[in-house]
Amino acid sequence: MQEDFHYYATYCAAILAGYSHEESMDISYSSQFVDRCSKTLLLRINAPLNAATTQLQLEMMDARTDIVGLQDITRIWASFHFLPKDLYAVKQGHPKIYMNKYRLICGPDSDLVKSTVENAKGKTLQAAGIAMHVLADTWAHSNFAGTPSLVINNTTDDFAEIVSKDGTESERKIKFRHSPGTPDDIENNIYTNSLYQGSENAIMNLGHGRAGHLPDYSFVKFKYLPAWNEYRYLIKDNPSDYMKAFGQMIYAMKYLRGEEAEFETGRYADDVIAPYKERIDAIIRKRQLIASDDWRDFGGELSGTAPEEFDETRYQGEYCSTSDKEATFLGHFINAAIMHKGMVCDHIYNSGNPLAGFVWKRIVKKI
Amino acid sequence: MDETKEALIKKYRSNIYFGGRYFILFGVWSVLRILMMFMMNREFAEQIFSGVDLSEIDESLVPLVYSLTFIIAFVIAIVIHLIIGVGAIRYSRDKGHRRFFLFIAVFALVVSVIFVPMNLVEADKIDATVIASMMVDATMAYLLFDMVYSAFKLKNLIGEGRG
Repeated sequence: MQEDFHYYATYCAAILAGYSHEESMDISYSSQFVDRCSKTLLLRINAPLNAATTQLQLEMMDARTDIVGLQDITRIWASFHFLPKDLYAVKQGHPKIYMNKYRLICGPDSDLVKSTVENAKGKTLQAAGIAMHVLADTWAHSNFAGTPSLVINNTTDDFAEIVSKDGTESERKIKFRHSPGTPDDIENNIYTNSLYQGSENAIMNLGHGRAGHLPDYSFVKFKYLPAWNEYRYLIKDNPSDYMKAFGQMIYAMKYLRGEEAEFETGRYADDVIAPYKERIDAIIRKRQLIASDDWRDFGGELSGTAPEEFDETRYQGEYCSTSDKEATFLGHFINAAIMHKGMVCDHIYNSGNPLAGFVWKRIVKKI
Repeated sequence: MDETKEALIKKYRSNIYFGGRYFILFGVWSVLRILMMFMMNREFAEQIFSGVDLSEIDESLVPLVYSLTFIIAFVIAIVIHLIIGVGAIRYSRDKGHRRFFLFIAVFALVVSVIFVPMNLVEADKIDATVIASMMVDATMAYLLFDMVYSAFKLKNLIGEGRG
């Protein structure tokens, strides 16, 4: 997902869950900051590097893809952007080395997302924001894995957008080109994706690179052939998934505020969304590269105060100038990120999967 | 047609397509092998011309005769690879229903299977190059087998679909 959903839509969901404008800003800022908190940024502010929640393109170009490098990559991407759906999935006739990667395929309504939200209960707003980012991405990034893998994340170039008109559906072929500097041409269905690389652990085979930004556009419903699905087409209905993500965020935040007794997967706060469903649906289905303006306007109407634009550097001065870093905004974020990463990696390790390494539990328990 | 059958048809078409594509690339290996056999293995070259009395040919033309022989061997090797490879690619894309390439593929498969142990029989000593050569021949044999098997299964599936 992009800034439009991780920042502005999360703000809207927080307001609808009952948070104040200031609390919603903290939550949505933390949610979006997950996409910015790289090792490069952490080095700049002298923060712990193990709090990294993303990797910049330049960092990934330099990343090693031996077992240590792969674990480093997987720990970040599987924890924050591609939360695994089923760490104990079964698929007959495949060796353990394949199943280790297959079991990292992301999907919504998993036990891990339940743990993610429950772990944020009683913690800081920054922890809530991180949980919302992770939860939202389980919908957008489903069917891809947060580890470099050709046999899981590769696709053919056989993509088609499913377009609805007057109640009937038709298909429009999607064409890909490798041109990172050129914006996607959504009118002519020409998108950018990552280059094919035949090596299993090549960095280009991380996540949804082979599908380009398609999973991050809320308006598009498309079908494609993922490498892991045995030559069967998969249909990805982003408008429906994004609506569920929004509803689940509201429900999760109501749980975090104490308005819900427990957090159950498969529930989406439909009652809260109902008065606004048409408006939200219109934003989600509007054919545009980024929906920030629409979500910001909606958020402003809900709270009476327009959410501020995202500024990556907003809290860095505070963090750098104080000796009590853990009490700062970024200090809370860093602690929450380390805790969440530890939780997810611990689950992955305990399932018998070595791809995310292991966790020093004493460090996790101290936070 | 149900989803499983559609998926299997896609799978076998894909196997045939990639089999054809890589068999064309293997043509490079075949050409290099012939070149190495002629250039590095003097006994082999002498065996080829053992039935020909080269003393009757003008000495200045002997290199030309050798060269022409190599070129004919290269061309035959490349043509065989192209017939099988291009035929497989066209068949996989449903652009050609002729399965002539399969007969040549079966012949090439038999030859490849024979070539695998022949590497050991003909070698003076078993070193890394012999092992590498065996592995390449084994790979080519597997590739051809997969292509022929997939074509056979595809024909059955499409035949079932048509009733």
